[in-house]
Amino acid sequence: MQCTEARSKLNTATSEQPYGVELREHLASCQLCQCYVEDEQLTRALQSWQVPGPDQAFLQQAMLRATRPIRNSATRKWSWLAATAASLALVGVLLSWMYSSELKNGPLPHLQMADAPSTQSVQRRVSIVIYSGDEQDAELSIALAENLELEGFAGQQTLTWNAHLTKGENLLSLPLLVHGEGGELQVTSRFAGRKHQVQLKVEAPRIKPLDSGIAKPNRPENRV
Amino acid sequence: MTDDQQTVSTRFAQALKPYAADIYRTAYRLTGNRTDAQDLVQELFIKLFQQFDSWSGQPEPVQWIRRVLYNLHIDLYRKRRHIHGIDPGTLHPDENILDSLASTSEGPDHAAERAKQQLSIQHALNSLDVEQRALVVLHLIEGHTLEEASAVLLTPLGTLKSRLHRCKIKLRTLLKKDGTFF
Repeated sequence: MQCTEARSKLNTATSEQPYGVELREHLASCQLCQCYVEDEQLTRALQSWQVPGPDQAFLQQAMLRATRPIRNSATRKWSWLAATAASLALVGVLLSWMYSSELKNGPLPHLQMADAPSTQSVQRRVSIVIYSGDEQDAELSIALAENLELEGFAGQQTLTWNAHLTKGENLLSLPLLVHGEGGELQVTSRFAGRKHQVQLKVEAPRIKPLDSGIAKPNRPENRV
Repeated sequence: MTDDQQTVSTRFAQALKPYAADIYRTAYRLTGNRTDAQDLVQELFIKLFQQFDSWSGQPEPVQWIRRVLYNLHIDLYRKRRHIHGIDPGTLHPDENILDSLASTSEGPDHAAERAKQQLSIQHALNSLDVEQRALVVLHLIEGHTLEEASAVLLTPLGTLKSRLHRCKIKLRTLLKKDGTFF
């Protein structure tokens, strides 16, 4: 049997009509056709991998976000901001963010600020502690609701930059401007093969003490 | 948003819509999990919007889109030095992969076997580096020729052939060891 005939028979073989004796004999002696069979088996195995389709709501949101007007062009490298974030400037209200079930499953923590007319902009500093088991690089990103603004980055609702984390606690301190009623702030970090995310509601009125349910940095179960 | 911006946004969405689902599935194959696939697709859409004038008039924009997707993924991966595939910290395979794949008409044994096969493929693909995985997804899974893959990945054909050979050996070894396919 020639290889071309063998491959033709291989392609038409089914469970009802498996390999005939002649074909099996050819395969036993032909290295090339053996490789062909193995390649075909591998390809079929890989093509049997089913992946889920997209959530339509996600696609719509993604298109919307992509076309959102941005006044300044977004860039990815904010090394100076990373340097600032890495410094230990303890100003303002401290929020603890850990990879804990309390934060994951509980209601969104939120800050309330002093009463102010909804049309005014109020400055707020939101500080987040990121615990890193080792000294390593990380990618940080923040997503701001329409009524929030990071000082110095007017018009940019999403920012992504690289930062270097020291072992232990790293403080990320964000000077925000809260316009009107405020909104949601989402902070994401990616390092050590993991992604961590926290969402906060930053509202316009009064500053109150932290919710008691928020994890504190020194609790062992909250360390990443 | 101004009227002009609204018009461009609408045109962008309409131009992208026919390809969006396939783009997502490719992103999932490249990243191995839903979270990263969504991130990749979001980044891609932003980039495609920025380059809308470049590809919107083309008769086959999918070629452009595919090229941007694959190269964006490789670039992002290199930057993030991310571990591919299932991230036990953020996704539980049972929740995110097995449930979405199990058919209600299958018996439990068959469904479990198929789920095991799916995970085997995931693990085998996770063993590849980002460029190997891109090639396997593009050529072996999605069925593009090596010449097409060369144009998408901007890599010489000879390099791809060597890379493919190494990938096949690696994948066959892992899947044979696993015993679910061979």
